[in-house]
Amino acid sequence: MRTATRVTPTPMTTDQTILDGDDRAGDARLVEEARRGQRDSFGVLVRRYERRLLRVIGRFVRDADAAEDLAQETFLRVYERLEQFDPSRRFAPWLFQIGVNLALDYHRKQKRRRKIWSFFFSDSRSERPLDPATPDPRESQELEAEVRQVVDRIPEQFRLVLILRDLEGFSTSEIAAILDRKEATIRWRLAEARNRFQEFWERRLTK
Amino acid sequence: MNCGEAQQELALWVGQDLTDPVRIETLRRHVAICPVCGQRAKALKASLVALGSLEVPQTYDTIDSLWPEVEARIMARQSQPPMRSSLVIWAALGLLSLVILGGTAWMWRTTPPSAAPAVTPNEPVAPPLYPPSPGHQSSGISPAIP
Ligand SMILES: [Zn+2]
Repeated sequence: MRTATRVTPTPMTTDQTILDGDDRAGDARLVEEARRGQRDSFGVLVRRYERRLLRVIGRFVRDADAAEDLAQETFLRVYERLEQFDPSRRFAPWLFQIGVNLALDYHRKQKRRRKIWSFFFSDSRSERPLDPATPDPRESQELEAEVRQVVDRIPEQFRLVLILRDLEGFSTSEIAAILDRKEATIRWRLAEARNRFQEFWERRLTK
Repeated sequence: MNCGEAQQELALWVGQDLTDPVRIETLRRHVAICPVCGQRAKALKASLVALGSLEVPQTYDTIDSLWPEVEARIMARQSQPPMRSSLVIWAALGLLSLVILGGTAWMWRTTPPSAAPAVTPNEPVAPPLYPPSPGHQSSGISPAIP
């Protein structure tokens, strides 16, 4: 049974980072305590990162219930692998790495399913039926759908960096830690992603 | 700085991802005087604004944390024997039952239908048809040749 309640999104500025500040030292201590069996210390880590993790997973998985399940699964996997965690690494990128991988796997499976579905049936379903009592939100939905379509055309390795940097505001060094790549690689992918997005975005107008 | 060099860095520049202040200043000056790069920078910025219009995914109230459910699932998993050891237990049980079944079947096949009692030490036993070869070690069942 679910206890979480959906509320209006909390705004997040792009310069917010997840790893800076005192939390890093705090994380290491909490991880150590959780490893020694203090479950409550792991609870502090869950509460510290759950909303951010849900946001990031939500960028890849639009279904709120599925995103919540994936976030829970992420924390469970992290808890089960605490013994394998290298304390010289930072906790947050490790957590987000597991979360992003789970979300991507889920996203790929859904995409495959949708492809099969649209092969056999014409896909005229909308994800959520419109309520006739509320003002028609289709205009903003159309713009969003257009942006989403363009984003989806970008190959995954670039799209991932674009989402984490330009939508979620992670720094390039944080993304490097999450994806376990060199920062130079991430910066190259970011430039490539922005160029491709701009190109596809403009091309859609000339179609 | 020429246009080629500038355009390699424009995409990072529009998102404030260049770190070298000298490089940033050189690029800023080039973009200010070069219409081609100026136009490209504008287009990149406009596309980033469009990208930013993507709705923030639904998020959750701070009070309703995932932790109670996560903790319950951790406790549930800890109360079960781990997957690997339960697999080992089942494999061992399976093997044991195979041995018992196999043994029973073998006993049944080798026992004559008259159900003659098994050999006991005090019972006279007919000597073997062929005496064992000199190097042969006697098995438990055949009586030793005096
Ligand atoms: Zn130029």
